[in-house]
Amino acid sequence: MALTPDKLFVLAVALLTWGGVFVYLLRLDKLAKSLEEEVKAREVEKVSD
Amino acid sequence: MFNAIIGIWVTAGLIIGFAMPSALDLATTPIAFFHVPMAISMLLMFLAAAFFGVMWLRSRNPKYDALSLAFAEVGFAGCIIALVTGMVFARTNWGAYWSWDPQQVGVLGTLLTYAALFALRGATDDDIKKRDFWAVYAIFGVLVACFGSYVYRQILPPGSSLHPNRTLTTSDAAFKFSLWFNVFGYAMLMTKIALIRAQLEVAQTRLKELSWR
Repeated sequence: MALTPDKLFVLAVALLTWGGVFVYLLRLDKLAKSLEEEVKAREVEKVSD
Repeated sequence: MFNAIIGIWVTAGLIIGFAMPSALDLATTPIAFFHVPMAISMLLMFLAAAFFGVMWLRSRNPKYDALSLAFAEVGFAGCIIALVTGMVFARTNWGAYWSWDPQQVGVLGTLLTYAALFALRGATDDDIKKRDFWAVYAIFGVLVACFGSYVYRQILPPGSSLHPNRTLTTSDAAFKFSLWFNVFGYAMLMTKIALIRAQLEVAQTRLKELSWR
C-alpha cells in the first residue's frame, strides 16, 4: 500500500467528485423511469380517447 | 441493484488504483487506472453503438437506434475524458501536455470523426433516413476509433510513440487486477449512463408521436 498524505488528499477529492456524479446518476435514473411511466400513461389515455 | 453494484465497484476501483505503488515507467500511477480504463471503455461503447446500429438495420426497431446513439454519445464523452486525462498524464511523464504522439493524434481524430458524425445525423430531417444513415456512421466510427486508438500506433516503426508498451498489462498480477477491475467498473458505469440516455430518447420519440396523433 502506498497511500501517502498527498495521494490521500487527491483520493478524497476523487471520491467526492465520484459521489456527486453517482448521486446525479441516481436522480437521472429515477427521472427516466418516471418519464417512461408518464409516457405509458399518456399512451393509454390516447387509446381510451 | 445494478446501480449499487456500480457505486461500490467504481469506489473500490478508485481506492485500489490509489493504493497501488508506482509502476516501472509511469510517474503518476493512479491516473493510469482511470485514463486507460476510460480509453478501453470508450472503444467498447463505440463497438456497442455499431452493434445496435446493425440491429436497427436488421429489425427496424427505433429502440435500437436510440441505444446506438446513446452508446456513441457516452463513448464520445469517454473519448474527451480519455484525451484530457491522457494530456495530464503526458505532462507528468513526458513533460508536455501535447507531443503529437500517434496515440494522442489517433484519439483526437476519433473525437473529431464522431463530432462530424453527430453533426451529420442532426442534418437529416427524415427520421427513418436519419436512423439508416446513423447505423452506417456508427460502423464507420468504430473502424476509425479502432484505427486511431490502437492500430495506428502498432503499424508505425518501433519507438515512434511515447506511449509505454504494455506497461500495465505486463506488470505484476496486482497491477493487472487493478487495471481490469477498473475497466469493468467504468464499462458498467458508461453502459448504465447509455441505457438511461436511450430510455430518455425513446420517451422523447414516443411523446413526439403522441403529440402528432
